[in-house]
Amino acid sequence: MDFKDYYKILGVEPTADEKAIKAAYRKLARKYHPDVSKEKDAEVHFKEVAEAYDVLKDADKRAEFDDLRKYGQHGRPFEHPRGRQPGAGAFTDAYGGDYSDFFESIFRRGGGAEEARNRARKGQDVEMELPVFLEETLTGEAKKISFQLPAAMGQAAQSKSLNVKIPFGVTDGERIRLKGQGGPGSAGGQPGDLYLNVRFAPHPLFDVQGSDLVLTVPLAPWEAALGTKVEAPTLNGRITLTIPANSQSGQRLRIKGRGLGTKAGERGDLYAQLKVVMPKTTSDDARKLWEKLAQKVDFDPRSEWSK
Amino acid sequence: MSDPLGMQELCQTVAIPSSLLMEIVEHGIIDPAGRGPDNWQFDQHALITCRRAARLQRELEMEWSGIALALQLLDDLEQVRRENRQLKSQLGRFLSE
Repeated sequence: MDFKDYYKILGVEPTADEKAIKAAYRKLARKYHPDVSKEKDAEVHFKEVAEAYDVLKDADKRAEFDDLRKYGQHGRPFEHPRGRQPGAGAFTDAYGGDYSDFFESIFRRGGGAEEARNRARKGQDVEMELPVFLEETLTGEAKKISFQLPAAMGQAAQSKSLNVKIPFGVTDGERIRLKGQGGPGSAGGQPGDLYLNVRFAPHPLFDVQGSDLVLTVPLAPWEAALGTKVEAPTLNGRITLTIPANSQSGQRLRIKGRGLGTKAGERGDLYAQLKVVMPKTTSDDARKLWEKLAQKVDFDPRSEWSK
Repeated sequence: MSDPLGMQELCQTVAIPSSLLMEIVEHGIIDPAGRGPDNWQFDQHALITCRRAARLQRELEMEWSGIALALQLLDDLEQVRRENRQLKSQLGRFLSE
């Protein structure tokens, strides 16, 4: 087990007073709070910071930690110099009991730990991201997920697999709670819950706008000018799109009911957004045709500028 | 989707005393269906918001009005980020040749 320097974690001097410790904690807690932060590994950082504050804000615990800190050396495995004696700090459990082994070895010994062990406790909740492909939001199929369960007191952590039904009409960012699928409870306590944070995986063809989808449809200039029929993909099957003559780049065609599912059990729409694309190379013949167009067609694309 | 929860069940699930839930409701952070605490019903979204609110209160030592504002802004921020991501993606498809 590694020695944890709680002062270093909070970024304060070992001589820091209560006020400075509190200020440092508050700042870091805001930075890493899992409900607020977009930082990587925010939750891990937050737990570390909360644990450090839990010790340093309490005069008794801090004194015991200071004592240990004289023995503790970085980079060397930590062993409690006095063996397993009852700790000085009272055992409080504001953070769901998810402390490091280092913390447990100092503060969760003797009567307090026994008491806690015998008390029925609800298992810890688990939170994780659930990446979802757009196609999966329509089929209502089950998706297999695997995750690590937090250990109950005195047990080893274990992993778990689960088939999760993706609800029709689920939205990006939606949170789903699965009751009782979190960490095991201790001493007959109920298991924790599993919270899934739905994240839509980027799709190679479609963009999401609420319950609507947008598909970019590349067109040759003459297709936009003359109109055409295009076979286009949707989330479920292909359709034939009718491009009217004189279509503009950027113009949108609405295809009703081919979007994502809605909570009401309906479907949003698919928008085909037209994009006129020039051919990469121009042959002499084509060049002559463009020249002819330039001469015959009266068109100023920058008429707005001369107003 | 799961059934709505009563006040007791919600407090148990989020592990908060009912006095705390009262404050959360009083600050309009969640809006239960049903008249009066005995008939309150909380849906899944309320449960998740309540859980976030309780965590912010406990772990960031925030006040309720600040929590209400923070949750609102966090939701707005997530919405704006999502829109930005989608618009960037659309623009990318349109610009790239």
